[in-house]
Amino acid sequence: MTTRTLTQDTLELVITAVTFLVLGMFLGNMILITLGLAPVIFLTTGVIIGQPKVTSVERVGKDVKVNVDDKVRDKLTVTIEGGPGLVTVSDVLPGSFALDEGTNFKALWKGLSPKTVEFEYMAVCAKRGYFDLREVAYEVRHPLVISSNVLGTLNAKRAVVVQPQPLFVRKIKNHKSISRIPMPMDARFRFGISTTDFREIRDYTASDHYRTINWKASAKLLSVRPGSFLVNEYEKEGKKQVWIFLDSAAHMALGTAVNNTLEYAIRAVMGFTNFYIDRDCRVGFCVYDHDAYQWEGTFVRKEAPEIDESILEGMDQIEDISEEERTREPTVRQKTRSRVLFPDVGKRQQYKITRELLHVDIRYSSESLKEAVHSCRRYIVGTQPLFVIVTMVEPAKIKGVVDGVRELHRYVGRASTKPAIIIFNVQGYSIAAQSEEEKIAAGFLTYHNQPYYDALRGMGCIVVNWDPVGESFAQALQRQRV
Amino acid sequence: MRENVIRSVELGVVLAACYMAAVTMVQTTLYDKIINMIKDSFMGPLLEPYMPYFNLAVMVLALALCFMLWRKGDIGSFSKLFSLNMLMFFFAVLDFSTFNWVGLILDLMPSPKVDDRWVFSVGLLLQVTYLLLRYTYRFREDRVELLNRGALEEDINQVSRGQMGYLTLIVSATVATTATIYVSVPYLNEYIQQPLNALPYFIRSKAPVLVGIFVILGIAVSLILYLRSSE
Repeated sequence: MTTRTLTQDTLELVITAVTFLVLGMFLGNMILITLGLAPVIFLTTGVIIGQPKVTSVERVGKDVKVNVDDKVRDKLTVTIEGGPGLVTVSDVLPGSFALDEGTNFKALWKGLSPKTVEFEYMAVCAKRGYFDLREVAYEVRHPLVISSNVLGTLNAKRAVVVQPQPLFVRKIKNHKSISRIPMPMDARFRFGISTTDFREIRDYTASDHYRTINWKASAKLLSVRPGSFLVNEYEKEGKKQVWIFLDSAAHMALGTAVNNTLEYAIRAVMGFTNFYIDRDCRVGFCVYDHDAYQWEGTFVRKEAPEIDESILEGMDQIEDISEEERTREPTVRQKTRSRVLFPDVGKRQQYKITRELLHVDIRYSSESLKEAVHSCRRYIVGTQPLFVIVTMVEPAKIKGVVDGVRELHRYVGRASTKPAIIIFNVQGYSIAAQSEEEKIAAGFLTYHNQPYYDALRGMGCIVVNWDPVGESFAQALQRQRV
Repeated sequence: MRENVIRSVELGVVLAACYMAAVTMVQTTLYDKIINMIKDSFMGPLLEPYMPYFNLAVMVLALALCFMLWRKGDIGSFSKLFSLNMLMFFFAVLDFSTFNWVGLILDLMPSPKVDDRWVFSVGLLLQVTYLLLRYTYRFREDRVELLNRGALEEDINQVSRGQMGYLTLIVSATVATTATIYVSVPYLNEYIQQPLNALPYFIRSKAPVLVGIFVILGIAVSLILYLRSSE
């Protein structure tokens, strides 16, 4: 139920009628008085006939799960009753859906009798995400614009889950023999029951059991290094573990809304996840925001220190403090959003990561890499996982990555062993480049980053550069051969 | 229905209304008076050879003006067009007015060459033109808006067809009702004459004013009731 309003058109017609009537009275003219009735009769007829009313909308399409760049088809049936008038119905599509065939917007004329209209369309889902196509918007107009336009929505629910296109790396076989990328062969639990699989001979440390001492090897060493012992190291029982960190900072938005660095990074994460889960690894996933490094982090004091105002007594205030400033609430830091999926195995974990990836967007997390590692530390300590950091390395952002890598060094491994860290660098410049000049500029920028890659390599990281436009994901990994 | 069809309808209505208003004007007493005043002025001898064509020239000028305003096609031009037509129509209205103020000032005795039904028909045509042009302009705006919103050309044409059909229907109903009222007034007058004669003179003498006030009050009350009702 809505109250009626007087539109401009109605008002103008009423004024015209009154003008004729008054003029007719003034001149004593029956013609003018009768003519003054014409707009009134016109309006009255329009009001009596009424305007349309959209009663129901039915959607044929059901909930569906598709991959990026797949097409979805839908058909809507709209029932309209009431008087004649212009009706528009639109199935509001998400911004990333591109209409491929048909129309999702229908304009129609409703005559005197009830009307049922059907329209269908096919749309390309260009971006991953969970899309709820619940609302069908309609607009009803009185043909004479006597009353205001009626805007409304009707529910016709449909969910479209658009999954990122996974980048398969199945073609890479015997990767350990040809690649420098430390696939998680070494990423085993340090704690756990030892298996019979021999791993290495190492120096005796204080916590080692004497039973593990390799007496024969120690005796041979005695002549070279008197007083030192060697122990046998066996593989520990347990699943191999991989941690994938995804950067969701603003610089990952480089490119278009649909085709940007973050989208390629997400595809790469999907590729890594599928690859490791298929090989029975425990995969953990964490989203961080590189830019969160630029403001205060977990280790920084969250609240402003309280100042003892008594120490300021006797000091003159140079500027008056306004009332607004006095009553202003102190800036409160936003609650940290931790986006972590702890390591697990199997299809369930794969599904969980995929579901999380559907929602990832720019600034999805509010933790820097260092903070994210800190949040996951309980699951990292005691293991030697493989870390995959999917980001876009930029000179301005290098400090955040370096801090994160240092934090990983803190929690992982003994002094003798460095953590296995892959920095998977999605080169966003080439994604954003459209013209030839821009492509050349992108090449220069990439070249400009070389010293920073070297710095990261110096910290024991493996930097894998991926140009999504020029090469496939598998090619980027294969390029890392010795 | 395509936009050029709507524009053609507009042109037809505009030219018809303008022509009728101009033809009616040249047959009125006030127009004759003005022509005589021109003849008697210093321009009279100069214009004497062209006076037989004067009426024709006035009509052609009016039609040309109307055509120009139609070409502009916006709501402002249509308002000017309506004002121009009403100005020409006003000459005829004065001839059939009880209180012919202009006639009193210029000392005119109404001697129109057209009857009251002709004048009423022309007035009704002008009203119809006004209503039609207001809404055809809106329909054209709707077309552009729908096109910009991504509607199919075929759908838009279908909408325009429906709108024009509806407008024709409503305008026809209005014309029929208004004409019926005007034609039936003399007969109604006969019926109500007897009871009205029973009323005191001071009421009877102000009957048109009182009726007008009642009608305006009726419109106002109807509007209030309409606004207070819910959809």
